[in-house]
Amino acid sequence: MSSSSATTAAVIRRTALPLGCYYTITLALPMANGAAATAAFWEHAWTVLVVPPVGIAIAVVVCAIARACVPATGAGRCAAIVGQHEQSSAASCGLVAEEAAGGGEPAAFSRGIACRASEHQPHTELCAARLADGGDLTKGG
Amino acid sequence: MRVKALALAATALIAWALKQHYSVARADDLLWVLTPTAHIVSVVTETPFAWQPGEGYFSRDRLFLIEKSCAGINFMIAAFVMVVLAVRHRVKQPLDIVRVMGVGLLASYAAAVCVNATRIAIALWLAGHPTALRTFSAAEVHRIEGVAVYFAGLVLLHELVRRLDVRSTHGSVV
Repeated sequence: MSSSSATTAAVIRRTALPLGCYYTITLALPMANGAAATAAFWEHAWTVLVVPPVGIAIAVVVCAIARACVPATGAGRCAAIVGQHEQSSAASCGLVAEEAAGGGEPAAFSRGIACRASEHQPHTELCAARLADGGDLTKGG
Repeated sequence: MRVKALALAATALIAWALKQHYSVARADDLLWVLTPTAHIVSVVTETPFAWQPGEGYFSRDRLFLIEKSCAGINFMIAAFVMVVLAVRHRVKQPLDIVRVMGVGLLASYAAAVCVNATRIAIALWLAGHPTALRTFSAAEVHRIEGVAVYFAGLVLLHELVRRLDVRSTHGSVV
């Protein structure tokens, strides 16, 4: 999956439930109660129908531009990795943290990114540390 | 499975009850949400609002009325349903239903007050800068701004709930 389509999929996935709930309460329920017969409802409905998808589209474009503008820098790569990392390894990080708590030592995961049980460092700091060390972050997530 | 179905039924019942309450309520019956909203708007915009019985909170300076339709009850219902659906996997026994409903009601109420106050504060600013968007009428700008802020509020609330849910599931690690 390409970077842009992954971004689009992530944004749509994150907004699906809010959009569904919003449409249900502001459109489906009033229609079920017979509000569709009034002109005032449709005046409001078109705004409700159009504005959220436009907002989602803008968010997708902004994310795509942000990725396109900084892909070669550490920050861009780091953001991409953090995004993947948040999705996929929260559970594994928790496991590592538990292991670290048991062993008393910070356990390593994702090739050099350390996860401490007592004070889990924000991913951005971890990425910054790796970049400072000249590490290859594309292998981090 | 049966407990989850019960939770969904309870969610639908509460949402329906809120909707029913809103449909017959007067401004006086919605003080529980209008009052904190008006106070936050007053503080943020430095605009005094006074209670007008049967009408709502009115600003003489700005000729702006926070009335029944500005209460944000539909947003609160949508937020409540969304929060419950987002954390429905936590319902494993009957007592969990009470917990999830309580969290859903508290979160949706707090979000409704904050997001609605934001929406009204922006609406006040837009009313004071009518040339900002010439393409649309004042009513259209107000409507578009309302939908945009409400939807953004729902997305932010969903993200917050999702992150807190993951954090509490996996300890302090996200």
